[in-house]
Amino acid sequence: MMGASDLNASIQKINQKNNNIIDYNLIGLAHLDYDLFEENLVFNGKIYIDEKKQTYKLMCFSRMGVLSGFGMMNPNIYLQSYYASKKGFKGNLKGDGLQLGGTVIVDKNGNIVYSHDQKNYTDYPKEEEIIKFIKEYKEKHML
Amino acid sequence: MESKITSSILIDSIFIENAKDKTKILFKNLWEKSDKPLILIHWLRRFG
Repeated sequence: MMGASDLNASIQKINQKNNNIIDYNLIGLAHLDYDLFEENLVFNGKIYIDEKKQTYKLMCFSRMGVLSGFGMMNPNIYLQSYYASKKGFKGNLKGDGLQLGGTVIVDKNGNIVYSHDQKNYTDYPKEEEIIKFIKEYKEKHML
Repeated sequence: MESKITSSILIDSIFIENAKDKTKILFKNLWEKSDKPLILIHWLRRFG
């Protein structure tokens, strides 16, 4: 599983081996604790805020709810919190914690060529899945 | 799986804010103004 910092490290590795093929952008819901987040993240991309959640709605990302126990029954959430705290992230319970996110890769024309919608709080794309996608994309488009 | 974000009529009216300097940019500029062939966008639940 990968959080934003792991994803960032993966993208750096992919770019080193693939002639800087991919841009990396993060979108968050609110400015809450952004400064603390930025301090702890060695990040090469850009970070944006979407307070109105327009892009979340556009991408149809899910929200956790009562029926899922707000996702707190998933033991991976505690494991992920532990690893995040080891990296200096203190955790943050402010704002809308029920909104889930996701990851897409788009081409220059806005075509979604890869997507991963979060199903729960600890659901992130796997590094090997992204590496495999990039390899196949390069072969298909002769990059 | 391939679909197009730009097929939505909403796309021309969605602005996001640069977290560092708080300037607003069009969401579609993430790919239209990029100098790279692929653009990864990761939506966070929260910062922290």
